[in-house]
Amino acid sequence: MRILGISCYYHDSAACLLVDGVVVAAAQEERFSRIKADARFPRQSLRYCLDQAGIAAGDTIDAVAYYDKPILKFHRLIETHLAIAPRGAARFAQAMPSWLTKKLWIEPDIHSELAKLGIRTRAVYFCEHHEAHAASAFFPSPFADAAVLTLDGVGEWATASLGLGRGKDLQLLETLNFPHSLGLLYAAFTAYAGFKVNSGEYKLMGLAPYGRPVYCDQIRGLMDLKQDGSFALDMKYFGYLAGQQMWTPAFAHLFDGPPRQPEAPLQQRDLDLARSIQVVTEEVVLAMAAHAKSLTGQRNLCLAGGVALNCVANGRLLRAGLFDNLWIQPAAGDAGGALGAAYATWHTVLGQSRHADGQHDAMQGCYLGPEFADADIAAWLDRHGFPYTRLSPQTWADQVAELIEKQQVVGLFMGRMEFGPRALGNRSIVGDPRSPAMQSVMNLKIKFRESFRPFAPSVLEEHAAAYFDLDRPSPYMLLVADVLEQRRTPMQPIETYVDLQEIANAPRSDVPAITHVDYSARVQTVSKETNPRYHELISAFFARTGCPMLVNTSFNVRGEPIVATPEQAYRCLMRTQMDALVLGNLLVRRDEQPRFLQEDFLQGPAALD
Amino acid sequence: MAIGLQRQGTEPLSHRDQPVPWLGQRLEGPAKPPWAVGSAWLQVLLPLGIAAGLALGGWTKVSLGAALLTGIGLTLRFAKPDRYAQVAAALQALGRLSGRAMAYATLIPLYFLVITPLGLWRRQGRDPLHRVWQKAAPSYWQPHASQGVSAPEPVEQHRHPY
Ligand SMILES: [Fe+2]
Repeated sequence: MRILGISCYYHDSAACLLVDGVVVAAAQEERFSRIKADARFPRQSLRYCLDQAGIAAGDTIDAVAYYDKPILKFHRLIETHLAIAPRGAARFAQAMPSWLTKKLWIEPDIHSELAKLGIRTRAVYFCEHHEAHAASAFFPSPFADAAVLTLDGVGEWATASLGLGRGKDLQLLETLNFPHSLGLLYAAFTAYAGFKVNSGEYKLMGLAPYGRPVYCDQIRGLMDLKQDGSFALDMKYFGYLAGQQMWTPAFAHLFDGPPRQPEAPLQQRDLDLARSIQVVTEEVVLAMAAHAKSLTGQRNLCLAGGVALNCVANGRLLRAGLFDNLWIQPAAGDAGGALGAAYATWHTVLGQSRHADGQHDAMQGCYLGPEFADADIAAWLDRHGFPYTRLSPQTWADQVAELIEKQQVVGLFMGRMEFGPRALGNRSIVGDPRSPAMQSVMNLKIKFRESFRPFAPSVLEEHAAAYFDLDRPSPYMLLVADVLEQRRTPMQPIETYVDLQEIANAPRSDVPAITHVDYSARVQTVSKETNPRYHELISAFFARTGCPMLVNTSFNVRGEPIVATPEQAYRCLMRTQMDALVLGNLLVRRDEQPRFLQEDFLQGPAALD
Repeated sequence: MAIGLQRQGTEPLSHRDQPVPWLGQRLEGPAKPPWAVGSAWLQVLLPLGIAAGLALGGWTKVSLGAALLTGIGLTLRFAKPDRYAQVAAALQALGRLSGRAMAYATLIPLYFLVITPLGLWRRQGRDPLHRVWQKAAPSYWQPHASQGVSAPEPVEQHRHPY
């Protein structure tokens, strides 16, 4: 039985395909269209999913599952305007045309998009937005039973939900409703700090350790927080009901003046706000999780929704010990909603059974995207006359590890592309974590992004405990753990604002490139079972250097989606100061490429994110 | 610098480049020639029909103008499809812009004449978005709609976009 899951029209649209309850393909549209967080109908990712399963013109699929209920969402829009009019007229006029011409007609759209490919579907099902998040968190998790917590900006009405999963059954028990939203609260501070909502949240989180939690009381004053983690916001501080701005002048007054302009230098206040909102977010998440525990009595917790990508809060939740086990959907944002909708259709609507072994999840390492054959890549390189070396399957890892040991920065393009926001070794840029300069080099010369942003380590699962205070695998880079005391280099505590680049360059441990200023790291553990090739490379680096990890950052430059195809990877190599590119079993070195190409491609970053 | 000479033997990257197919990708056949696309003929015949109608109604000069524009469009469409695509994109952008202007022109009055009075009437003494804090209440969590004896069956719940 074949079920296609679709999420689109709000942010980060995606498609996925479930065949007999097993996810065979999933991808975000942005990777194909090259428009970051592309929200349009996922035409190209849908086509990829169909190709992956060999579904061709003339075929019929069993169901299409859509990740929210558009009419409920439209109802919320109308109710909101009825509640705030005469304010909000411009926003109403801006939003309404796309609702009337597109968003309300998703079912005919799905039929017509499939018809263009010669495909028919027997049924279209609609999931509630938070039900889709909850399904994406519970059904592919390793747990037979679990509590489920979802947190995001807003779905139809819900902004957070608590549920209980048992076997093939998943029930949402309680919701917190719009306009009271942890995701939108965090987004308001993201916008106020001069970052883009829906993409700048990571930056705010990365900035938090540089600041002091001096604004926590003011932030707590913005909400009536109950003991069970539910809360109401004081809407006089938030502008998102009526306008395009997330915050109001009262908000600016409370937080000492106007917001930071995008790209303006960061000030002490920005750092302190980042730290303070992070602290309060963690308090709310912890209280909600405690409530989920008392409501369900479960030992396992599953998380999804955009807020679940806050890996610092996830790490704190894990250390709090409320639950024995925690599993977070790696595509926790709306892209993962496509997967959740498909799973909900399979188990909840069609009543199909589910097997969970308590150990392994069903995400296949998140390697669910397109893969390319060496022969096709080589033919493309040959056609253009781009020099490359063929790597031997026996020695490739050592050859690449040698480059990394020589402080070269290498792009990895191998195997299936990852689904979700994280690059997990198949579309990654890697470097030597022992180098104190690596963080700045990779940020400024390769990613063209802010120097303060930390990088994540990809560490061999079997050696993770020798470096990090982490007692379990973290295969999706969704947990933050402390670098062990004995690995640290003492630093002066940060009291007030100093040059962020200076701090970023200061050695903090024997793996400085992945150690944040608070000695934390966003860990990806790599197992032989899930990604043998990446494991082989890190093992080769370990054999050479005694260091069982690499710096891992996503294969893209600032403002662009992660690369999906060999051509995009090649362009990225030539546009940046990356040294080499591994394309399957082929090695492309930048300094061997035609000189004019280096000039052609040496442009600045795409649109700022 | 003699870039042209340096380029010899290599084909520059471009968006028209034949992409590397992913494993299992079903490649589309070569693109149809412009004259084989049905919508192209519609785009030609429609203005021609308008021109003929204008001619019959005695608007000869306007009709000739329309026919001339059709001729230019026809030439571009079939002889210079790239250039035609640029013109079409520009016209589409113009259409979107005017569509937005028209939407504002109709929806803003609607907002003030219908939504606003209705909203003001509906929220008299009420707090429809629950913005007022419930200090005495123990929780803001709400039971989910799927809870309770009147909740519909899962299949029914999922069949509708509401
Ligand atoms: Fe969401």
